[in-house]
Amino acid sequence: MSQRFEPITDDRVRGIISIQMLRGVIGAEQYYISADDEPNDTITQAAAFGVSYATDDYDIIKAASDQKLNEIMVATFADMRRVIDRLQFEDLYKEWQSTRSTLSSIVGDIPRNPAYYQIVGMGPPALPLIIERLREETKTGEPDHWFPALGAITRQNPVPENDQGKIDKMAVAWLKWWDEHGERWSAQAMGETSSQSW
Amino acid sequence: MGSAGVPKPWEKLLPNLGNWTCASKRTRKYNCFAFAVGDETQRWEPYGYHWPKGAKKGYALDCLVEACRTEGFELCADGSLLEDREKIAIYTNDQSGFVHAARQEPDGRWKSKLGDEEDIVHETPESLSSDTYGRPRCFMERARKPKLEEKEAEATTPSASSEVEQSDRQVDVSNPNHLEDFNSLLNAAVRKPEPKD
Repeated sequence: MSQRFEPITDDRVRGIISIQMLRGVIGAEQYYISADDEPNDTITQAAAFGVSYATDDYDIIKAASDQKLNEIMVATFADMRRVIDRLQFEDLYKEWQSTRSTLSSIVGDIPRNPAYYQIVGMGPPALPLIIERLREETKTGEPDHWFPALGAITRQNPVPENDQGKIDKMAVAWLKWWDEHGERWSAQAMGETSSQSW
Repeated sequence: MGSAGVPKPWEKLLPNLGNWTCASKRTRKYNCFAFAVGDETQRWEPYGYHWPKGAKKGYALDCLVEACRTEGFELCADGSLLEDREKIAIYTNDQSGFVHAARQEPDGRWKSKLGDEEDIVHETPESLSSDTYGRPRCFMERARKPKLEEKEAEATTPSASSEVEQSDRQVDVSNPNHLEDFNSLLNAAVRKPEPKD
């Protein structure tokens, strides 16, 4: 079946570029950003530019102005980034659980596990997910070996010297650090604030 | 062979395990190095966890030996059972430094904390020789602490001999080596004479 494509307007071009950007960065194909009220035309033009999409599984995002469109794009991108980070983290966590050696007594060996190594490699986006899991583990049982990852990502050590080695107290110290500094630290790490010292 | 009950997933990693019994629940609160020296309150590890002050940091064998010295252990020849001595075995493998430690029980069997798993009792240090734990490379010993009831008896009815020992050998705490003096005094007080052939 042949398709006929209409000439694209500037607004539509902007929309298509947005799709390509999202797709290129996070592999998402189900979001469409349209600057006008003709989402179907935009989708058609997306196809013309070689952008694949799932017609039954997409959200149409409309914007009344360039500024609004940009705001929506930023917010949507951040939301999607968080979703993708969580999916990636959960996959790596499962892989770590299934490949780790529970016989090792040396926590320093754990970062050699490829999945754990990749969690650390996720950097600041992994931090709220690690903290979330650490908080849950602390409530329901024992904290897992997250401390090397927390230290590697943040380059901080909020654990008092006398509590080093006492994993329950170490967890409490990290959770307290996150509650007091996490938002600010994350913003700084993600480049959203100036490089002020804290 | 093995402990009664469902086989543990880690058993296949310890081909020389032989008879063993489970002695605790799983926990991450302490590790084998802490457990070997009698500390079940925290994890011992050179970086990021508890490591005795003054002990060299690192994963080389001598670092753990130094750490254990802070708890009164000294190197010894082997893991043979001596009634008044508390012994530990330190394991190394070919790829890295120390990887495990086990402690000897008064009945001559050995006890290990297995990573994040349980404490187990095993027959010999070699029971854990494996790709995972390497093999026992060196042994350390210290005076075995007397049982609580013996301590209490000593406290309430001091013997004449102990009074003599106390008056003869005082530990000078101003001496920087006073802990060594204290240990040698303690060892002399509790060590029994070697049996004569």
